[in-house]
Amino acid sequence: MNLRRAVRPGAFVAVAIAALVAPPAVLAHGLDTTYQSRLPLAVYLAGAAATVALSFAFVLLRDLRAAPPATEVRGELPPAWLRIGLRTVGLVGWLWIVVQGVVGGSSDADVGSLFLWVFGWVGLALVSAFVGPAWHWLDPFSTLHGLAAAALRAVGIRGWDRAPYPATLGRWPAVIGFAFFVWVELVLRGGIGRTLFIVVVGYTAFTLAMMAQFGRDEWRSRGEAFTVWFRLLGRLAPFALADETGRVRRRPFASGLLEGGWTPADVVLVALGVGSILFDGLSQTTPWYEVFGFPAAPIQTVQLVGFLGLIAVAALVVTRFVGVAPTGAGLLPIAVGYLLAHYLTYLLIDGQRILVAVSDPFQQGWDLFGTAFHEPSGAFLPPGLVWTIQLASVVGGHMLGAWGGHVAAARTVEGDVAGGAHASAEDTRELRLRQVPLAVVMVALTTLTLWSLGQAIVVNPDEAAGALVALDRR
Amino acid sequence: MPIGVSAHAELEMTTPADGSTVEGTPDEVVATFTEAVDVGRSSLELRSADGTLIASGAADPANPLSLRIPNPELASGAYEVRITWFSADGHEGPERATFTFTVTAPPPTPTPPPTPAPSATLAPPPSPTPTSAATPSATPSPSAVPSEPTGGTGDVLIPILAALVLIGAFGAWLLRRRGGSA
Repeated sequence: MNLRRAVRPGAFVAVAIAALVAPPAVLAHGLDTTYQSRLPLAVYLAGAAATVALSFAFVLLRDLRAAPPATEVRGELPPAWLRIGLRTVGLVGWLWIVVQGVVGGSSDADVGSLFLWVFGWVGLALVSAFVGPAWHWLDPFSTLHGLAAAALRAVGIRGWDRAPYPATLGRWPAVIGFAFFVWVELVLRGGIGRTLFIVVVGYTAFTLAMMAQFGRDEWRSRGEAFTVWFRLLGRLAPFALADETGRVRRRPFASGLLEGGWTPADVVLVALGVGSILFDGLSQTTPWYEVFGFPAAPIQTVQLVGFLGLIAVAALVVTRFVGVAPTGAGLLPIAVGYLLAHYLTYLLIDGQRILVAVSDPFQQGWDLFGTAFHEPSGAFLPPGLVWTIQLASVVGGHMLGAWGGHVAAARTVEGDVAGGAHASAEDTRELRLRQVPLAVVMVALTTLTLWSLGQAIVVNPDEAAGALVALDRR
Repeated sequence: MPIGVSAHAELEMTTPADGSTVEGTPDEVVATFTEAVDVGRSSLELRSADGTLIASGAADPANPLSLRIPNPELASGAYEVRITWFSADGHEGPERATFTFTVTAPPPTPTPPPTPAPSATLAPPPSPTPTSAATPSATPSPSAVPSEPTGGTGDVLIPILAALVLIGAFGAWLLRRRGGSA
């Protein structure tokens, strides 16, 4: 009713939009339909310039080093109330989604989209990156597995032998699962209501079956998409899992980037993360709309696969030059920066739907606590603050990535030099050259992201049926 | 801008119109939809500015396209109407919307009975009461998207400077903490 589209060219954005014909009724992408104050051209240009400068400054800096944190620290279990509380919240959230799926309804009180996309895909990703491994306990699949195993034991069923996890699979099953959820997010538009219910129930059944087959911890750490993705993001966090029992150790922020264990699957996963956020941003810009319009799901699937494939291949090519660990360490902070820049307002605005959900938990038209009519609002967010956060997170993520990639690359070279002797001038020059492809890819991605943040947003009226999509009735 | 691209019932118009001022009590309070609503589960609530429930509406069985409160007999003041509806065809919904109107004292001279403000399609002017910030929850857009900068270099320079300071501080921390140049 009172959607106000942001096609209000001000003095600073006039240049950016002058060439664009704003379509009359537009907007649709997976997430982030709620805050439409674009990054001004000047902010975008400043960010792009800073990005390029930072990238090459790090590449040219002489021999920047850092030691990874000690990983053999035993760590401590978080307090029981926290672990039990998180498990309870995760399980209640899962049950809530399932019950809503059974009783039906589609409204702002839809908790499937709220928990999976707003609080999970965005909120939990940010918690994982900036705080620690909350998902380790929130994870309802793991809790359900534990409950089911306890129930079976109680009735005297002993369980069966686990199959050894095929080492060749590595973390690729998680990459495939992640790609599937990206597709649900961007092509099925988050799949609200029944669709999302089917996705959640189906994925739960699949995950429990795989846990039974290969063992819970084995499948979590290698095959379960959310766990693998959140743990990867957790390389930034100051609290890290010390082991599968849930012991947590402290370490300096972002130092986890330098820890070992990077695999090509991790790099591809990060590339998919970066690519999906970028695709989400780009596919709702006016230039994209002018070229592609609003494609049907099969066409959009092809576009998405092509786009993500391009970025994944670029990342893999970079690993050939600089190595797997530096590429991962370079791209991961970028993904987190983009996530924050693109989706923070979505989290802060659409997350307010929890007030509606609490008052009408089963979408029956109730108003238990008088909050069912709450309309999520971004009025409390000044555009200047949003732009500051967007610019700082994109460029800050880029800077952290440039640092991480550079230090990881330097360590690779040192590892190559026998006995840890100091690298020669020739080694250093070669090191710099080898980092250039990584820096170029990172600069391209970041410039594209800043550009997409500055574009007019396009809405697809045909998709206005979803709870996440706005309908302008003026 | 298309309304009702999907088959389910959309709110089409309200009487009194959203944000309107009515002289004397309106004859009726009505919400009209584009399609039939599930009359058993849909509701219309008239509330005073402080949220007190004054009256509830029901559908005219002969006309499931609208929910109605006849002869509300309202004193002067601001009112909010909360609408919750389900489409008659299936399990879509609930959808929600609110609208507000103000009743003023009728003119002192004898006049024809006060007429309700003309109905209007939904195009809300700024809502008069804080509670009326809520509008149809079927449109989860921000109720007030902050406007673009209309001038003043400070609007853009401040975010740039603030971000650069943040990034600079972060970079300094990174370099200092993780060992500088060899």
